[in-house]
Amino acid sequence: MGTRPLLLVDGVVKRFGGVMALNGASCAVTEGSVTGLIGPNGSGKSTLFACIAGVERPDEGRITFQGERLDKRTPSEICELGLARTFQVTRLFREMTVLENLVAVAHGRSDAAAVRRAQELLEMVEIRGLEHAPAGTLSYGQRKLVEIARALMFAPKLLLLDEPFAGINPRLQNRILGYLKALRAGGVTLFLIDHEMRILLDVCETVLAIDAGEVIASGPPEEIRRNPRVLAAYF
Amino acid sequence: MRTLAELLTNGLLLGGIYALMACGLNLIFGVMRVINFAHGEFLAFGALLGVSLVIGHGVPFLVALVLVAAAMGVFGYLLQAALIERVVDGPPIMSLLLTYSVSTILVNAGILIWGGGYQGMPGVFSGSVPVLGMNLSQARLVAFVIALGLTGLVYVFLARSMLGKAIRAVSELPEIATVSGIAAARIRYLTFGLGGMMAGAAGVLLAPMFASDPQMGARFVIKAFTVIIVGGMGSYFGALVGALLIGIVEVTGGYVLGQTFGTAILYVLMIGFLLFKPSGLFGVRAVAR
Amino acid sequence: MTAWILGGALVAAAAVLPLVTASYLVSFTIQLFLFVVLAYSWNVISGYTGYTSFGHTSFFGIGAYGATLMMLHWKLPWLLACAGGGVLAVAVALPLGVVMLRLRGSFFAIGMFGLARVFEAVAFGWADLTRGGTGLYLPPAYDLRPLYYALGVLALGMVLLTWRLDNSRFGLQLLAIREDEDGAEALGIKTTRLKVRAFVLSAVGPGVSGGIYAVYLSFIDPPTAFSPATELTTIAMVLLGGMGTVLGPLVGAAVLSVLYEGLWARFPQVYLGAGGVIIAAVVLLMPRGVMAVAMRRGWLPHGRGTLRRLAARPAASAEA
Repeated sequence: MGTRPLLLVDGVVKRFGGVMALNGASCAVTEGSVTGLIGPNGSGKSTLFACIAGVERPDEGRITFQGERLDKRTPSEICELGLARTFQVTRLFREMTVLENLVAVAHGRSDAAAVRRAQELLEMVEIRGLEHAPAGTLSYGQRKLVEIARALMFAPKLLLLDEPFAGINPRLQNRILGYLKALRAGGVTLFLIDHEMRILLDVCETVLAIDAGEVIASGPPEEIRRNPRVLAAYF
Repeated sequence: MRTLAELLTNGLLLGGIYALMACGLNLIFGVMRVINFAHGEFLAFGALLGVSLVIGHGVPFLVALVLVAAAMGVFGYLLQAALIERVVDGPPIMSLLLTYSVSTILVNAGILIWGGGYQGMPGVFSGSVPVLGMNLSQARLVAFVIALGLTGLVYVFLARSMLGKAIRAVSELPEIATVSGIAAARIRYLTFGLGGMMAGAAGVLLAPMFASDPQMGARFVIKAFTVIIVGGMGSYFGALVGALLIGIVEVTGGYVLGQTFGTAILYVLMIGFLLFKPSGLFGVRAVAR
Repeated sequence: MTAWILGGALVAAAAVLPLVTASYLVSFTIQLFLFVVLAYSWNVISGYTGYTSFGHTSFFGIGAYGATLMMLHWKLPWLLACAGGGVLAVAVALPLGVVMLRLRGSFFAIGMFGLARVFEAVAFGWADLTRGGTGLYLPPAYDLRPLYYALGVLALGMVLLTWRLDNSRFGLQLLAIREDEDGAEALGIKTTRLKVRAFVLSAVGPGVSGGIYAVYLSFIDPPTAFSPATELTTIAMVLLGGMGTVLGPLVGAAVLSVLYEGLWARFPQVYLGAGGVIIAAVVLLMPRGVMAVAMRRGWLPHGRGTLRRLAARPAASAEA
């Protein structure tokens, strides 16, 4: 658990037509930490994630992960570097079974090893019985769990979670919270976006607040909660 | 020996009819993101029905035009309501497959009704008219004027009338369609009817110029695709400009390279635009899926 | 197990067919084999990868002309020439795939359609090479049996290859591309590389069988080589059977071949339209084909077999 930044975002600017989604956003995520990202709607949270994951290319600025530049790379290259993500609206391969969803992204593993690992992960999120169900038949909550398991298939160093707690009941939220804590204990760095304040404050060591495309505050949760700029942005 | 002016003008005249056809195709795409592969068959049926009425039953050309256009409009409305509406929500490839299949069914039907051979419309607007030192085919001139007139009429309808505005609303803001289900469905039926009507009219206008046969649709639909891809999908004005351009390219290319390569150029142009400038010259939306 | 026995019986029956029956049935089965090859090939790029091509006859025509010209000008034996046609088709497919696969969905479909028309136009226009509309003539094939076996082997090969594909990581990732290409890319699947590979693979079948078909007809001309009807029939077969499945194209090809044969005999006038009706019916009623209906009813399991079997193994020694 060092203080070395695993992920460094430096002055990222991203425009969509006339809209300035990110306006010189900068932040750092330390290795082994759990960092949260909050911000009102339209503040640029998802765009920032998209830029980090390589889905969008920043117009200016740089993003580095373990010293490697991310902003010029394709998503699959970024994946290979050790970064995985889940999506706000789950993006499972609906016609494929849960097991196949996981094995499809098990790069570098043989089928037998991939199946084994997949079963372990499904066991961890306690949905082992669903492994042969087509992903499209799962409930929303179950799909969120499969997404997490799938992201873990490539043993990432950094896991980006886009609103992992959105739209699910509190019991499932707590369950996922438990898994995330276990992951952190296992050395995976977590970077998550969410609106659920109480959860973020519970699990995150550092919280970043973004508004109008800029990171306006960064620090431990209690500090952020009292930060006047953050309060102004939200209310 | 054709002068450049003659080539350009002939291309322009042809383009006018393409505009009528392409604007109809574009309308259908704009409102429901459906690429109507059967559009060519509406044109073919229009042409053949026109021939049947004018030559077979002595109906005056303009009367036949109105009748056929109306018939094809109704047919389009029914086709959408009965079949295509069912796949509007699904993956776009399904609607493409459906219109593709409708196209083959219509070609077959056409062959059964009119036989596989060519039908001409002799004696209608034959002869040429001297214009600015060029000898222009009367049929082409008349067709151009009427086609452009109809295209303009539809444009005014879209811009001014309540129904037209509703159609544009659904096309520009598809979210509206989900909010008001029944209204949107009926808009779609009407749009397809309108598109079909325009294609049918284009067919009638083409009949005096070229020989019509049930398989002519395929030749024209690919040109219509090229027009809206070059002009920009979703843009009415783009379809117009694209059509005139394509007309010119086709006639000039055909003259310089011969018929076959002339047409091949169009396909190459279409593919080129698809790859490098998918939004076309005046495209309204970025073409994603 | 039963599947293997059934399959073996079918193969054995097919193998002895030419020895025991009249040439009509042999001819029919040759056409069936041809469509099996085309259907399975189309299935790879359109069924598995989800890039629905409306212009795969491009490769059929390229193979047909390639093989024919090799036989006429280089005096190659037909089998070698057909292989050559296949190589030509693949060589063309590689750069084309890189370019065309940048298009998505309907635009890829229309782009491929346009491509097929371009090739058809070239075949028409390049009269010095192809004799344009007149077409090229080959010595008549009196003995159909070598053709039968060649196509039969090719058809069997395509079925087995598809079975291997279905159970491979490659196949799984193609399905992922079909489901959600951007999502797949975001999860590290090298979509471009895999798509192009699938596209090139899908050109082999049509390329080789194009040549064989030309030999069978002793003739090739642009409308025959690049016929939209062939495209339509191929699509109908795979759609009916089930896109992206191992047995779908076979079921579709068998059912439609018989249907078409019956139609051609009794109602040749609606032959064309029938293909359209079938596609329309499948799109409206069972867009995922017969195989999907079977899966939904529980007659067939969902998902691929190999992974199922691996998953069922008791977690004995850790192999990771």
